[in-house]
Amino acid sequence: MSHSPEADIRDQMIALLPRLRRFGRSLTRTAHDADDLVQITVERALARLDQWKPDALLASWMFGIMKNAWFDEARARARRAKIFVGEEAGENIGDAASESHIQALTIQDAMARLPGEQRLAVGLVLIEGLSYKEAAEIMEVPIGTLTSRLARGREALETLLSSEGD
Amino acid sequence: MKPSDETLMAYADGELDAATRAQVEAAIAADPDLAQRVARHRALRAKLSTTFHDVLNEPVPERLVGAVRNKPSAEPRKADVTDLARVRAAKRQGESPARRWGWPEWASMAASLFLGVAVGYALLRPPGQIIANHDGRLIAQGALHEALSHQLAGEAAQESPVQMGVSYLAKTGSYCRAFTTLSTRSMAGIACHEDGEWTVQILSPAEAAKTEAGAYRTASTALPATVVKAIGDQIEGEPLDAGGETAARDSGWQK
Repeated sequence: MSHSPEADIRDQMIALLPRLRRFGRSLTRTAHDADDLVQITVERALARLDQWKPDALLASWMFGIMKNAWFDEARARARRAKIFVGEEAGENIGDAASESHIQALTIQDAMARLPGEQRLAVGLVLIEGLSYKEAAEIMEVPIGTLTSRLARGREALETLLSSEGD
Repeated sequence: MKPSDETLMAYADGELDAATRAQVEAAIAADPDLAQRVARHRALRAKLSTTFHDVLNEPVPERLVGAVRNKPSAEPRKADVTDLARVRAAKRQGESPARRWGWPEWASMAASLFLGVAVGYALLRPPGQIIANHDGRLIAQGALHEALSHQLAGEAAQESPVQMGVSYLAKTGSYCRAFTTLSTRSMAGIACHEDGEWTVQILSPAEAAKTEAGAYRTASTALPATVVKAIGDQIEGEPLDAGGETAARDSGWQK
């Protein structure tokens, strides 16, 4: 049975779905939002298949698309939030440790409190296991920027997780 | 040299080149506080990766597989107008309550089973060829013996499947060296020079430093905490610096 190159790419995308879902889960608060983000990512990727260079890793390319989709969504939410105050309060990107009463934080809670850029760095390097170089390319920043975001993200997570017992 | 926080973090993440890594290992062996900070970085990484790992084993929702399979890519579309609200609306209309499991779910379950087997394999069995069991003593062979005898820590090892870490004089009076094997099942350990042979004292699976492409990064695997701790327990004085290492090698690792 012969496969067209496009059918091959679709097979590769399907094989990537578990990882895309995990990356989505590190960015958004709920499994539901994460899967929605994956769906948007898949749709965008298929719509621009012609922009994918086969020498680039499909995973890196799709992580990059997901990052942009996530930022777009965050902006759209911020706009909506201005109109419907309170509807999605607490789910906004960049909602750092702002609540006065910190209760037992799960790792997911702690992740959700990191500023978006730090959450991306932590998600790509510590959860997805990418190298600093790969993560910096996806985030479209120099390695030094990635490194300092990762360091700050780690520090913030340590602080958030250690205040569990307070 | 006192490594900066970011350098320690990069060490914990397996991001340093061989020369810098050897320096950091030397500093860590001499300073328990640094070792503790590296351990904290590793613990957080392990916690995050364990927490999110389960997502990989969840069944992938059918609608995502469908999005890959069904969407005609040639369809002209307004650029990136999709947002979550639209996806949710579409989902409310079209989602079928009964979900079958497609092959990706089975594939990911099979993959996780395989991972379990691979880890077990690495724990139970030292890498073939380079370590032999002589009546319970693990003796370095072949490429590992060569590297332990001749390769320096900072040396770029193009063809060697082994990377050398810190070297030191142990309380027993033997020279010992930390090493990492670069292979699909990366192992890190310590070997000490005794009676002309290198006895492997401790061997531990190294943190998998695998890139997403499945390629193994060279020059970047950090020593597991158990190995670092063993060095701290065995070491007599300070780790060898580059000059001391070269001198020890040139004397055939004899005192």
